[in-house]
Amino acid sequence: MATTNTTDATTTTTATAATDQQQKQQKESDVYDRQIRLWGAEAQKKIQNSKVLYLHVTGSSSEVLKNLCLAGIAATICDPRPASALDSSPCFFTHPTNNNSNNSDEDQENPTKKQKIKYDSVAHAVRPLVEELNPLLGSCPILTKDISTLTGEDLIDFAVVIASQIPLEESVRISKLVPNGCIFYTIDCFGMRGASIIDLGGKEFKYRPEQGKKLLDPIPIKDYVSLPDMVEVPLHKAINRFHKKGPPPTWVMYRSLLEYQRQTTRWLGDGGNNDDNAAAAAAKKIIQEFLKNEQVTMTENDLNDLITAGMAQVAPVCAVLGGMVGNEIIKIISGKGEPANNTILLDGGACKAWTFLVKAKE
Amino acid sequence: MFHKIQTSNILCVGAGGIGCELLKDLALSGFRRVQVIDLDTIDISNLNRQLLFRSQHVGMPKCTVACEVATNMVPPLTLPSDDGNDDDDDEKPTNNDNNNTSNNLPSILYQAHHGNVCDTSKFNVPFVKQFDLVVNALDNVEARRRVNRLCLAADVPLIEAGTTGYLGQVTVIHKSSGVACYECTTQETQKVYPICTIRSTPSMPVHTIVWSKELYKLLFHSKVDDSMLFEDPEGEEPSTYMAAVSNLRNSEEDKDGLLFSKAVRDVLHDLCSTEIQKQLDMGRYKAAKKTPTCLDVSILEKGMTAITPPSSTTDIWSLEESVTALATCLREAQTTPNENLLEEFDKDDDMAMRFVTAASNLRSSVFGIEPLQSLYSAKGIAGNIIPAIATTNAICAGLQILQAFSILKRQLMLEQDRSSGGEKENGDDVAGLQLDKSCFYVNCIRNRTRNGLYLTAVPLEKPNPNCFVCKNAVIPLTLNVNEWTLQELLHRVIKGRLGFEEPTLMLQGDFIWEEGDGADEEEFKMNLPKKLSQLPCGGIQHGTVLEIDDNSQSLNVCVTITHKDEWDGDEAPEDFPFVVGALPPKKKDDVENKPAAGAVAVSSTEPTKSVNADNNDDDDDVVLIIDEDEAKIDTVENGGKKMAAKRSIDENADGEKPTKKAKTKPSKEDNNVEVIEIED
Repeated sequence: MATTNTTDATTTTTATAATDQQQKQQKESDVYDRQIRLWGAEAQKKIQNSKVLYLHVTGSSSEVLKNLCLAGIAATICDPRPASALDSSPCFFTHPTNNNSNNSDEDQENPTKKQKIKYDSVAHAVRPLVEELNPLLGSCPILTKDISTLTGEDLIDFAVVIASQIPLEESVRISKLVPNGCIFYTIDCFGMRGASIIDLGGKEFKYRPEQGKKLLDPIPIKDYVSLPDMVEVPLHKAINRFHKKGPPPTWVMYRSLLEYQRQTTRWLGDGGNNDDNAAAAAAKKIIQEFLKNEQVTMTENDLNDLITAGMAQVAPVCAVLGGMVGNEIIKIISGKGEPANNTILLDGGACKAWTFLVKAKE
Repeated sequence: MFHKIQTSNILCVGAGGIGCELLKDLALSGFRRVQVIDLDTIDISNLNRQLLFRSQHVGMPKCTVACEVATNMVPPLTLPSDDGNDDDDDEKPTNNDNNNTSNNLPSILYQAHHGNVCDTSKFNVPFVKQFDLVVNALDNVEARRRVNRLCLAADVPLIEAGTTGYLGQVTVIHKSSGVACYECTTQETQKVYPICTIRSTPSMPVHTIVWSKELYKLLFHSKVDDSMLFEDPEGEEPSTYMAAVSNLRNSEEDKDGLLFSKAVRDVLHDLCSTEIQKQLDMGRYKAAKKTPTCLDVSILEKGMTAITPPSSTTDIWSLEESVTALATCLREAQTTPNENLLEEFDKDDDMAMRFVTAASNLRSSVFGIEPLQSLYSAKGIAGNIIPAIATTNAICAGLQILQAFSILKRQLMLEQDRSSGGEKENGDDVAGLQLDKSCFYVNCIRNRTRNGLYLTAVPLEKPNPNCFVCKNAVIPLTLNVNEWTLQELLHRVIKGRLGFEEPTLMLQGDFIWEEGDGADEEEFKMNLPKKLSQLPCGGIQHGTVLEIDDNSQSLNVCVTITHKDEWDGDEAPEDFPFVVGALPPKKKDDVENKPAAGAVAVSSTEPTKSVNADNNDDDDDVVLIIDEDEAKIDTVENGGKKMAAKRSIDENADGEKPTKKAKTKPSKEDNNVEVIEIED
């Protein structure tokens, strides 16, 4: 009925640019409508002005990537691993969609897609699909560097850096490199469980608590433990009044897997030799030794499950943890609501997840 | 176990926010046999969370696109050989692996059914029986009730989920596991408002928005008396505004538009001033907290002479601007050919939205209601838009699939037990799936509990013994048997409130009504206009037991009738009062809002809130504010009650047993909870 205003015949180029800008804004407010109604236009603006760097795209981090890209947070990817690394993870960026929609006139790249493209790296394989997921974000930059050569310079501009399947010593190193105000996150899923380590950057990190619908004035977080300090906390001391006897099993398992990687330089279960009895026994020995040093125990069942599954990722577990981490990062970027500090632990079998503060209890 | 996943048959109902996430998880987990039902097409506002859709898909059926995309996500079968690339990119997406025969696996088939799950001819009990389990990804109570009943009848496990903004919950329903069904707890079907609140005593922005939608109908609907604001010009009491309304409806295009402008002005003046003055004179607002004030004539005149209507969608229009906006809308409507003019409000129609925004703000200012609304926020209220984000949907869908794993594992164990020991079969059958032992009711919350939980899992609830759906409980019904006709009983109570689709009604073993497949409706048509007490077979009297049978849902229940002549205004709907369940207590008890134990149980079988009369003292008739295309959303359940339930979990100190009871506990506050959260 009401037709849109047609531009004047004497339109100058600047005016056209302005209309393009307007059209883009209109499209943005249409696409993001349902979430703007949740967190408000101001938060949406912050979201659209923020960038996240993904160090490795895995089953779990691809879920975060998907959630945040859809919400309007642009991604940069650093993942020089060979593209075949994707094959073993339940990542929906893995299998390119057959673009056989009916209106294929515009799909110039369609014929090329039919052939198997050999990508240089995971980042290159994932990029076209990320760009397709939310075209409003434009092109998705790739950081073509090895994780171990990243410098502080590379991390400027990012609100959050999310690492998945990177060695613990790299997490420690990078968490020290991130610039002020940047948050460092890890996310990993293993079997029916998953875990995240969070470094909010410093004790001056502030957020606005929510009280019902009311947003209160910013306050600093109560406890801050940096990631390097966190992983120095002996497991038997990582307890609180809700976990008196020992830390949550998921935290112990995550640390065990990271320790296995540190000692062997490979992830438990990589190469698909979980069934290999000798390898399993060796892994068991490494983990048992670690648990002994850390003065904690693990039930035989849990230990066996951990070794059988290794770092194998299960799609719904990745989806749940990826959704939770997505929510947390939106909290952090929008400054609304108390963020999780300093781990998120998921037990998919029990359908429970919680945040646990790793801090030495004296 | 992986073989079980690959060979099981899954039904996914809904391909929206949660549905897309479910299909992605199913595909990535290796499920090969999935059928999807959805009636919707893709809208641009879906793209922020429904990851399977792109902008080129807008307008296409959700289920078809979702199936196509999900099919391509199913991981190819990896062979021991090292060449890796075993997935030939075949033309047909249903065939992208060619090793299936060797492994005795079904081919990958994600099958789309573009249709409504409430279509009994297609989606019935035999249809549901072919599946190992059903996952729900729905957004409305009606369809959820339907799937609930089908799954109970077929005894197929159902994994239910719902999200609103940051909050979500997942639960499992299974008849023979002895757990609560969807209808064991109160479900709000639609948010309702009393007519008199809308017509004379609005107190919230939503009331004036409903009024404006009715005004839209009054001016543009081909049947003027469809509008709640319609007053009979021939009626005893002369209407203050109907003359101006019909004048405007009949106005012809005039050269300079002066006549038309006057007609518009008259309508606005009569509605915002003359009618208000009349009500004031009648003493309508003597006891009211706020007294309305007539719209200032100078504002009307200024607004009418201004030419440029307001254009901002996020700023609040001034009163003059609102008048100008309304006049502009009406002028546009006059020059629009009738076939292009919507008879009823639609939130996605630009003119209708401007009309409602402007009219509701004028009315809000007359009644001193705050805050006034921008077009953007008015759209949220008028269209009943529920905020939605990808993250919460991803979490809930993931939890659903995790529960699906538990169920399949149990099914696999039973299958193996059966095949290994024949003599034990009896014992196993008695044991059954026992999902009460392996599945959970899971809540997803925004702010952690005191002990840090973001996802809380508690055992599934036991069935409500008074649930007529899964426990076949007798339904107590109170009404006036001398006033109600069979037609009204069928329409308002049996189909409306109780959700039957093809009911057969019996009195003492004899049919008084029959419909559906093979029924002879003609034979019983004559009963429809009869008063209940005058029906054959002795009629429906005080104490009568009415039997309802619905084959389409495999449901058979009895209704015991209590006759009641006299009704207090606050007990039940005004025109044809009735109460399903026990009569509400005479006086509301503000200290203990929870009705007595018996009343809770009965009201729990109740789909709407009007039985909780203690919960709302001025409900006298029902007005649906729900926009057709968003009506699928269970508004208050999402926006109000469950939200309240979530809050109580947040505050729950130890996070143990996050009380689902909060859901059934009516609270005064719930009624005031806005249907959506607008930006804060």
